[in-house]
Amino acid sequence: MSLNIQDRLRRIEELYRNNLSLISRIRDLSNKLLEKLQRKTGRNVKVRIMNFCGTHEWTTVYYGIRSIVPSSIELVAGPGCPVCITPSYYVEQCIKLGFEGYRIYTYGDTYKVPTVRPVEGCRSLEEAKAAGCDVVVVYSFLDAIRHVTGDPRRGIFLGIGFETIAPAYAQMFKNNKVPRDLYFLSVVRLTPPAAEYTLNVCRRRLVEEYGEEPLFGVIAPGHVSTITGGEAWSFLVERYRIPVVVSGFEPVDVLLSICEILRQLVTGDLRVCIEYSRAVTWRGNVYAKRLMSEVFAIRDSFWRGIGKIPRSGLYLRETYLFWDAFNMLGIKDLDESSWYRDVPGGCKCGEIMLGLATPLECPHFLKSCTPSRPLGPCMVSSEGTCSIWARYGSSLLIEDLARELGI
Amino acid sequence: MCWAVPGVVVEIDRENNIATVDFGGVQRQVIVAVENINVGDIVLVHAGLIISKLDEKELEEYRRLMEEFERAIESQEEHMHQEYLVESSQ
Ligand code: SF4
Repeated sequence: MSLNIQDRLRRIEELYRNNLSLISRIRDLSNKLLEKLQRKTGRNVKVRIMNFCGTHEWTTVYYGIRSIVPSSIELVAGPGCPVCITPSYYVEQCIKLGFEGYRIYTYGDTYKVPTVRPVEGCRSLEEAKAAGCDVVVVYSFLDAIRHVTGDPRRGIFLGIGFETIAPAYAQMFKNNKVPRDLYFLSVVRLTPPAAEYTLNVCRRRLVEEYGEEPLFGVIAPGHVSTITGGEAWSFLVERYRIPVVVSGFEPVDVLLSICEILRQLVTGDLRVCIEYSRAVTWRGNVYAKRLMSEVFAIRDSFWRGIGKIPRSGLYLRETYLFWDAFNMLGIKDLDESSWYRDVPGGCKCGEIMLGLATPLECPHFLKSCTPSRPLGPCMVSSEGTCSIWARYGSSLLIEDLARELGI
Repeated sequence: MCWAVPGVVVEIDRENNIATVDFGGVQRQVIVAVENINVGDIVLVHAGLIISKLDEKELEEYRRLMEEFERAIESQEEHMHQEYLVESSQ
């Protein structure tokens, strides 16, 4: 049975991935829709479609979607990579605690991410490990919990991530499965407040520059939305009149979502459309959302290269203070006065994550900053915009696909 | 990080909310934070957490998805064609 299902899964994937005739029809349709939009608005509109998920950016770059869609559609990557947006400060604190004798548990990407201030000469947890600190790379929170059980050395879990991972933390706390000697440094961040913040910054910048109200569309993150549900994005439609499509991750999904955004702009029938209906529902994973709100409280929080975003961070509630690294280890949280610009000189990660620049505008890109020797945070994780552009930006796939489509 | 991989549930430890998921040969223990999960379900797993159960009905009629797409596009095309006719007759 299992094989059978795996087979079917593969066939579905292929269906989404290799359907060139469908892709070219979607492309024609978006051209027509765009023409209609031009006629409707009476000007040469540019439509900016933002994504908030590194995997969407990956699909966009890998399959060359920017070169498939009409040039007046600008596909912009927002803050969609949890490793990139984790303030350097928290990693620096972990390095410091590592030197004080604590064992640090972290994911592979966070292990490599460079800090902006060195601690004891180390600029990453990886360097701290080389310098003798006890740093353990884990695949999941569960792995860390299993590793620590029965081990007297006090550990700290650097808990980064978005809504997709928060329920894992919450489930373990709620079920009393987190050992007493594992502290948790919660750096969990929420996507919708960051999307709102980014769109506002972008809008302001465009109005200043061009004196024109920009047209936006949002491709909402599919996997974050499995938890939050489509409903989490309705405020963008209601408050900002921006069309939203919760999209899957195959090229067909993304192209179809772009089409749907154009359709909404043309007809004025604005709403949250769930294109990724095979995994996302309107209300989302209600059970996981309840777990999250039982274990975590929402507070203002800081994002790397960006600064404070209101009500965008999850912190352990009082019931779990005993595990809370902020509380137990006296780690002072960032605030307006202690916040510092936490990207290296010249690095444009902040602007890139806010959709104000592309990696090509950074003087370090593919020179002093490469996937094997990252300088800024966006070059580390496979979901980081710079890393995606560096690895796949020049992919021949784009040309191949374009040739096959005859465009 | 928000990459999610589909797999099949092969075992569930309900007391601890932990499941074993098969990713086409490789098995891993993951945390469960979805309700009504059963052995044989196809799930999306992200960083050691089941974030969603794929809709079995949709999976079984996977062709339907494509048909839906096709239909959606056709109705769009038709709709636009009609509008075009209306516009040009004005
Ligand atoms: S190329 Fe490197 S230094 Fe430049 S913005 Fe990207 S991560 Fe920062």
